[in-house]
Amino acid sequence: MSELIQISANELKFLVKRSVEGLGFSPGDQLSAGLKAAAAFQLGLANSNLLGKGLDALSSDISAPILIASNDQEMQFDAQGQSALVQVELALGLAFAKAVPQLRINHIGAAAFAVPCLMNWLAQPLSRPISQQCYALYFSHHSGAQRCVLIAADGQLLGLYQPLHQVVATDELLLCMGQADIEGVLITDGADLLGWRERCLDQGVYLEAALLERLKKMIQASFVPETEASRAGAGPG
Amino acid sequence: MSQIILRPASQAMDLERLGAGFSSNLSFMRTLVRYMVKDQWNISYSQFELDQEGYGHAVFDIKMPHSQLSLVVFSQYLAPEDRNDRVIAEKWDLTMTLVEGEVDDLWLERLAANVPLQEAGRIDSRSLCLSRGNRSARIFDSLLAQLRSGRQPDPKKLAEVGYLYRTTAVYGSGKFGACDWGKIARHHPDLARPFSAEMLVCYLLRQFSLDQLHHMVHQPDYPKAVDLDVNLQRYLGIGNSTGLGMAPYLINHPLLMSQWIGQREQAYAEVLAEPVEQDKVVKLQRVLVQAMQHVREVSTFDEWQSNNNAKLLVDAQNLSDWLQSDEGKVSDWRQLHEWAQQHYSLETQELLVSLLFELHPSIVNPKEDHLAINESLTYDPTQSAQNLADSIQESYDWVFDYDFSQTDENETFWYYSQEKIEPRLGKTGIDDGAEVQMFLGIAKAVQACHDDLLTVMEQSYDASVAEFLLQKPIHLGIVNRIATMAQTRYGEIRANLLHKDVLPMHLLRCKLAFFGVSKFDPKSALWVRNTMFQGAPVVSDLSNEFNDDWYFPVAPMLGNQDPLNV
Repeated sequence: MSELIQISANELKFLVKRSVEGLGFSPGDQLSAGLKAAAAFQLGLANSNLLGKGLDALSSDISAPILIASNDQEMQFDAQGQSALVQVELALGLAFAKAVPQLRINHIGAAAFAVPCLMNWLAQPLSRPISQQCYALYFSHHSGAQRCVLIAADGQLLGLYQPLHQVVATDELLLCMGQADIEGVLITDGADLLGWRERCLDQGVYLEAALLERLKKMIQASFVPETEASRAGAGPG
Repeated sequence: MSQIILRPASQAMDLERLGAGFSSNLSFMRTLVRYMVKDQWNISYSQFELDQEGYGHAVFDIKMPHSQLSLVVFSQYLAPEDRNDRVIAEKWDLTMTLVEGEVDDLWLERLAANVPLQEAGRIDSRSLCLSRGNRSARIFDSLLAQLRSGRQPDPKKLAEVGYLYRTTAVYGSGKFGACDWGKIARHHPDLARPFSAEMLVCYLLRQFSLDQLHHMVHQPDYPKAVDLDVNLQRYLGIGNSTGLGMAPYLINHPLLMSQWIGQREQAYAEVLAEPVEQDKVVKLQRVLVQAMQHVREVSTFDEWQSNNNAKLLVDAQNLSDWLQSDEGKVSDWRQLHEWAQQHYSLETQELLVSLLFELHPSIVNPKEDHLAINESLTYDPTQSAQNLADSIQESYDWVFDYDFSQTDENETFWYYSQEKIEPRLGKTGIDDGAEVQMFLGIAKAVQACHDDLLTVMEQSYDASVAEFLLQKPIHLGIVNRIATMAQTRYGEIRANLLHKDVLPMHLLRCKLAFFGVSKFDPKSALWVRNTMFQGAPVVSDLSNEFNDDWYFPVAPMLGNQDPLNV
């Protein structure tokens, strides 16, 4: 097992943001990726393995998920293999705006990174509130098993479940709005997830040393060789 | 009390005005010292293991009402040729970290192996900050020699430098393994204000610089040695150089900036609505005289700053004369504010803000507890695109003042240099790197977003923001920003940072004024020297009577003479 390095959530956010920047993603994608990675780690929904997969799946040739089917009850997107570190909010947002009960995103990488995005939106008052009590988000966990995160209407985490049946493929994300009863086993309740976040706030998060090095290398792509003219007058920096 | 009228965002958020600001009693350094005194912080050394050359380590023990911290300082020999203030330096005279609780031997050993390495080492989540400093070659050795021989230095010579050490970096916010701001806010409420922990490090670095000096002075070979006169001790601050690295911070933290400016403007509006009392007019004149002397003592070769200072001194003398004239018998502070607006430079106008703040601490000081904010930029996908466009027209109307079809408006781009990992400015069309430029062209991005919003709404008038973004995902970042900042009173700093003549100096000074530094001495348009904690009480003063009056420090006289009455 690789050596683990303790870093702060803010440092992780910075490292991921700048790494995504180095790949040529837009400023919105850069910041969003950093925030999602940091928040997912703090909630115990991500680890180095998942972040590695999330980075592997990043492709700046893809600008947005494609809507492939839509009706009153369900909306279906194809993420074209894109990582949930970026762009997943474009699909989630449309489902929110249309108040469609179910959203399925196919061919998405490291889907767990979608969770913080959803929590963030629900924590604020929406222009067109959706009268749902709960939101269930199904995805494949970093362990490879399926998981469901249940989120209250105000963005609070209610629990992490192991579904009893296969609900999503390994590269799929499913959002069910209004689903309060999860057919599955409660692994961790909301208080424990928040307790994990508290612990991370106190002790930082742990990243494999090799992944940390990978992020640092990725950041290099966002650096530019400075010119003598730009150096002139720049002072001690 | 008359009506409270806030300055409009068009005025308060104007970059040139922000770049004319002065420190005040709302500045972070002033706040820190006030709290240290009010809450009776107990600061002492738990270890002071320096040899006669001043090398070794020391540990400050800092007992605050809600928690205990230690500042661990390592002092090592640094060859003159290795003394380098640039970010890429690898050795320093002093390195330090602020940590939670007490430090045992094992931990100290680990810190000793990592802290002197700074970026190349690793600290853990028990650390709040990591920092370093270099000795002022100009002053330290001569001062040491004078004190060893029993002589006090010439205050004027001392004033030319104003510090024994310069900080070359103070890292917080979770860098290099240190804890997140959230932990400080939660577990160390005594430091739960922006940059409080960083300011504490600088304050104690200044104290250490004096204690190290005295330790080296009072060695057995120097029987005549004396301490530095205490007024001179108070006058010595900590040197600081701030460059482009700080500039993007203000743009990347718009909510925080809006909060800082908002609190300051609220305080100013409340002050202007206060009745004028004669004792306050007298104090205003006294503080004005001190501020003028302070500005006279600023040593700078920068022509732009020199001209600003000269103009300010003319204005300030004029203001002083006016206050003593019949016309200047102010009946309310707003009259004074309006007089300044009509007659004086931006720097003088902003100096007046700081002066009036000093007269009204009961209004201003409580705002210091409202400067922190949860920084989250979020859009609402269910909002209509029309609403978003309306927000732009209401809150971002200023972006339409720029014509980005003009080359001048796009001539500059900001990037991170490969060599120094610091921001640099490039020339569009000439320098490489525009494709990975930093996202600082807010006005341009808002304009582009607005154009695309109109296009999408032409096709679908009732489109939601979610539909807009799915069609134009490139705008995700700016939509997050617009949706959030449009809900704030003051919003964004109003400037086009891509303009060919952009002056990053304004950004630097704005932030440094909030920090509370003095003696702005620009070395180019891109970096500025300044002094921190000059005039502040030393640690032994903290338990004495305290008047919170270390604003606009002026060079002291030896003994008890008042420098303003000589």
